[in-house]
Amino acid sequence: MKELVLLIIIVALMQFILTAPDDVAVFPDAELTFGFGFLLVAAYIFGLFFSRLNLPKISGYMIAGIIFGPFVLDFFSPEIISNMTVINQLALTFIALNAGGELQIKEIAARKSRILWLIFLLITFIFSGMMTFVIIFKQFIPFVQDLSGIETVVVAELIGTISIARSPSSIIAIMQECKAHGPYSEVVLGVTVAMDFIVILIFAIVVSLGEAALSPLQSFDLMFFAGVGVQVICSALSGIMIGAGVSYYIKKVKLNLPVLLIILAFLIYNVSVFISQIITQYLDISFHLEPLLIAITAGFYIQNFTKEGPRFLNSIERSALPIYVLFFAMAGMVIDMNILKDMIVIGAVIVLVRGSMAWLSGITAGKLSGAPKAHGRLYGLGFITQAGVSIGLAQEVIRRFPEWGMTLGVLMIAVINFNQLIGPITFKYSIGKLGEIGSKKRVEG
Amino acid sequence: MQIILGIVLIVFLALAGERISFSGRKFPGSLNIFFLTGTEYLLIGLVLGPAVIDMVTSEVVRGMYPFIGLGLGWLGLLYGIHFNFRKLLKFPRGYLSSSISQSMFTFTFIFIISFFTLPFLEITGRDSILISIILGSIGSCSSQTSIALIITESRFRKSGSIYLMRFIASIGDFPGLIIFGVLICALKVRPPIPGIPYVFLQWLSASIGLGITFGWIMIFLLKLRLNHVERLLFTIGIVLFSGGVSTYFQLSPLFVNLIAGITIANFCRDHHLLDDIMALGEKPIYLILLVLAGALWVPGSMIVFLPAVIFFISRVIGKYFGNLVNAMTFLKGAEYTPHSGLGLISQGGMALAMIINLQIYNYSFLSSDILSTAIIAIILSEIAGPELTKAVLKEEAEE
Repeated sequence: MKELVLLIIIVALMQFILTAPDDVAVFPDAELTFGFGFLLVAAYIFGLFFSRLNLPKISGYMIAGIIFGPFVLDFFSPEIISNMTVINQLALTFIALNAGGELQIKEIAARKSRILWLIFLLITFIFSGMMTFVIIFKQFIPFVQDLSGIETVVVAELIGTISIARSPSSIIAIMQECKAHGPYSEVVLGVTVAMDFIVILIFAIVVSLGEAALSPLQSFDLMFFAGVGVQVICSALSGIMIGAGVSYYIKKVKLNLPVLLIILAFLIYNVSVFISQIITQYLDISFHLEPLLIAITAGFYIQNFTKEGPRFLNSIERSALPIYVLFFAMAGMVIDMNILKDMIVIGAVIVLVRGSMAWLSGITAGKLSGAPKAHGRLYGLGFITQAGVSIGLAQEVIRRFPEWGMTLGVLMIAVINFNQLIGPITFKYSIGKLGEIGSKKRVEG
Repeated sequence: MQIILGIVLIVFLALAGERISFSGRKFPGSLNIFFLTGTEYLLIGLVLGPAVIDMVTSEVVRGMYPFIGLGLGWLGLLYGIHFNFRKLLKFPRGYLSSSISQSMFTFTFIFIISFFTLPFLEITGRDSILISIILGSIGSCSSQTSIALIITESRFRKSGSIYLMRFIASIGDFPGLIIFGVLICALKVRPPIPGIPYVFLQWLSASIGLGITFGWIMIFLLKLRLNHVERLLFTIGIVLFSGGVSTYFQLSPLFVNLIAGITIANFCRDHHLLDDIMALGEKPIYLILLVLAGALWVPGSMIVFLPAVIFFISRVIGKYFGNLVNAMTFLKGAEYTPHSGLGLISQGGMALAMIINLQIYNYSFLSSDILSTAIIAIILSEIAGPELTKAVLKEEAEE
């Protein structure tokens, strides 16, 4: 009740401030400052409400973003939203650092067979399941109806690939929020993080094949794959160097580590983009250092190859909350409700098919790897979330296939939005069901 | 990219700086004075800023606006939450009044000197009054942190008088801050406007109203069952909100949050829950603001040194005589030496926060020379302050 009163007060205050005449508000640059402040408080209160209902707090942050965003209360101008998205650069890299730190070789090795089976089956079932669905029900998907056979196959492959992607950020955020630890959550996290890389590789292959198939002048480019390999190696090496640097700092300096890690995340993103631009510009080759891979490797290196892992994770956890709140609230704010509305039927069907395939993969992988039955039944629920990488891939489709890419991209963004709203709830339900909530030991840093 | 690097550089300097400044480490000779108070960050900011190497450009400073709102608000709130009047009134009679009176005496003295000196710089009329008020408010502040550090560091006997000096230093910024906040509201009135008093009162009420509202929002939050991390999140959120709103309306975030802090301190039993959280950010925020103040500083012509020295001397005289009057009136019979005013010369945090507040609003009447004068006077105070405080401590110990 107190939270509700508080929410009403700050929303009323925000409304009052925003209705001030233009000549009274003389310093519009400050809109970003109070926008962040308002969103931090209001979204967290939503998170508290959701947690009372036994739902994930991050779903609450996202709903807050939708409510205060352009489609409902419209508290933030497009310019402010665009400036606020600077938090995404920081958050994605920060979450990747966290994800890397959560991956422990010992635990992954102990559950190697479950992780490998899940990765293999999720890719196979979801990719082939989605492809089959698109090809069989072609006439019910508005923009695919008029496509030629080969085009339909390319569209089906792209839908299949984007459907494989999931959201490590949501999994990490929920595990932190629930202080979850245990065989189930560790496996889901390991698979989710690994899939983030695999899906990028599969996407690169599918896009190359698709472009070659649709344009007779374009050939399948092997150099492209060699380039990707070099970029992956360079990113991983950068991550190891950063990890070594951070562990040295933790060992020798110790001070202000949580803030330093936030700065580091910010720096990893911007410096890798900067270096990529410089190399592309001066050496005339397409080169892209992957900030997420750098950050995951750095976190993974600190956790598994130095003694500073526990202190590193503790510092990340201490500074993570404001970043998660703003990141997921922003994710909600940019959900396009018009797209969601237009694509509701076909989107919901795709979500259902993808979910069923994930469930089937989980059950089968559970059986084949000898995982407990309960885990096998619930694995599917851990693989619903979708966010960052999936949206990036959908946008790439829009760019690469101008003729029908826009419609397909919009459809996939709608599907991702659905999954991002449902996924955290199903994952929290599954870890709750298996008793892994609250079982993480507190690490003193 | 330069914006990102600039921001990262400022924050990194502040984090690394906390390890050196205020750490109580010994540095050779006069370096100790600089590293004790963090003044070196002002100079680092100046070197990094547009005035020298232009690494921290005006775009970088613009990129740091959310932080400036947060930083100024944080300092205002931190100062305000220590104003629990019930606690303050428990101190011996005369403590509170002597703190206020020495500050008001210094303010008035600097105001008069400035008012009669500014015409020589061709500043007259309304501008002269406004600048004199600003210099008076800035000059009335004393740095409680550096004075406390010097007292702790010194090997002299700690008498009751020393603690009284600390008390006066901690309360002494209050009148200056209030006058500053009221002045910022008055500056919202752009002449010629009919009904000036109405517009002024409207903005003054808005500042106070916002402060009270945010104070009550914090009180509400303190009543929720939250852990430390959640409380920190809400505190950052509310200070960003209040600091941002104050800046949006061109009010003073320092003043609005001071009011919020006073509201919390006096209407919430659990206000102590905020102490740790607020203290957590104090030093890094102060150091970042120092670098920013340096970066925003446009030194201008060499001629500003003369007014800066006049400002500094009038401050020393104001503080000295303000305390002398106190010793003869409010503190008659108390263990307090008349020269204690010289121990309150270190200026630091709040004065710089006021200058940053003025710098970002870019008032047309406030030339870069005037702001340079105030900054140079602060540097002079930081150089002379610790030595003067030590001299007072020595005198106290000998008595």
